[in-house]
Amino acid sequence: MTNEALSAELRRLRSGSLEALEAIFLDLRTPVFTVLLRLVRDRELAEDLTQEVFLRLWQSPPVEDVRSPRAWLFRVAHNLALDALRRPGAGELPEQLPAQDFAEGVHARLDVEEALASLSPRDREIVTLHLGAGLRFREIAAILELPLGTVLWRHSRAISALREKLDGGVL
Amino acid sequence: MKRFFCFLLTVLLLTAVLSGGAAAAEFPTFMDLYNDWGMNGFPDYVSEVHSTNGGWEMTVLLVEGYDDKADEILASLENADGLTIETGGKYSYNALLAVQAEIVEEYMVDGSGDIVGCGTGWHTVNGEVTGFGESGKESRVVVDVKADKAQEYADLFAKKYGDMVVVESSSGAAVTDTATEDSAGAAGTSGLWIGVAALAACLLGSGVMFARRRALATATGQVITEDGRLSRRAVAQAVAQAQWTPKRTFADLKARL
Repeated sequence: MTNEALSAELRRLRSGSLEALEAIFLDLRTPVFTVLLRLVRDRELAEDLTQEVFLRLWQSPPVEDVRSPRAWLFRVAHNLALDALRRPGAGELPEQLPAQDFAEGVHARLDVEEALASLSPRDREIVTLHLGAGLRFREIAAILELPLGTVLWRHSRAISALREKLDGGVL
Repeated sequence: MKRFFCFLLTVLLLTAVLSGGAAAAEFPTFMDLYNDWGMNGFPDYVSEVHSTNGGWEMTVLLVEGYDDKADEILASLENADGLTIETGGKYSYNALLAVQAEIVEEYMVDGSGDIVGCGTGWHTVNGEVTGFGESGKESRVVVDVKADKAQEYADLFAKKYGDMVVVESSSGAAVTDTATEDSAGAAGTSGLWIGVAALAACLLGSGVMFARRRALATATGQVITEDGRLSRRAVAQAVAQAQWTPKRTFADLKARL
């Protein structure tokens, strides 16, 4: 869903349309969940937070003139993840992502997840927000409160690291 | 009154034509374009990219004869602040990479071991990082060869590749370019953004890296950027496709509204 299409659905949502919420949910739940899962590394928690993102969207949608509603949504997801990670008892969970989620192309996906797990949480989030969520670097810089140049450089470095990992490394 | 309306109409028409004709810029800044080049391959008209001030102001050197590409690059950017475009580069970055790949394939893989490293970028002279060509800012393929064989390979490569290749004698490990601009970023130094894994490795003292690239066209002008390794684009596509779908449905969400 482009920002324009999302804006149109949000206009309907602001006037109380459940169909609009459903359309947005069906289109964005996967990338939102993916970002959250890679941030919190806990399936149940990521499920909770994904639901919370769209609940907040329903309760307090962005105002009409938000330039990038898509970025707004992922900022909500990012902030919720940070809050969850700050709670007592939260921490890095190093285990692999659950085996029961596998479908076609599972091995390739596992390889990618393993490679992503080797990145720092911040680099992993930058890569996921750009490639998984489709956000522009400027939007990611605003969400993460980082300079644009830093985001660009970290993304580039992360891709190189992933490439090395997925390609079997250097001699 | 009539004249005023005619004038107003003319202004409105001109505005419509000009705004309709202006193409939307594709990239917010040059770094976005640069990242796109890194992901999808550099155009053949790019010779070199380096930092102008040791920071984020960048200079793009175009291959000689491609001056018209400067406007294209600028038109593709929303904000070109800090970007300098120069022309007069002798070789395209892609051509240098092709030569590098050929040298690696023919002389390093299963070779004699005389060549200990091969990379595309700048080099260090008396502790100072410097480029090549008249401007001193161009890249070349830098080949590190064991001291006793250096002259032999210098003569060989001069005959084969002209001044695209620079042979340096090495007493220790040397490197081949693989990570290009990313190693420069990791080194955190100024000036070097394309093909600088060789230099970064020299600076950081890292080990030997080989680009397992298939032999490409020779340095006669033909360039094929086929690469035996996983491309950055393939990596990006793999990450983009590796999505996870939540189990909870819209019905679960609706129940909470």
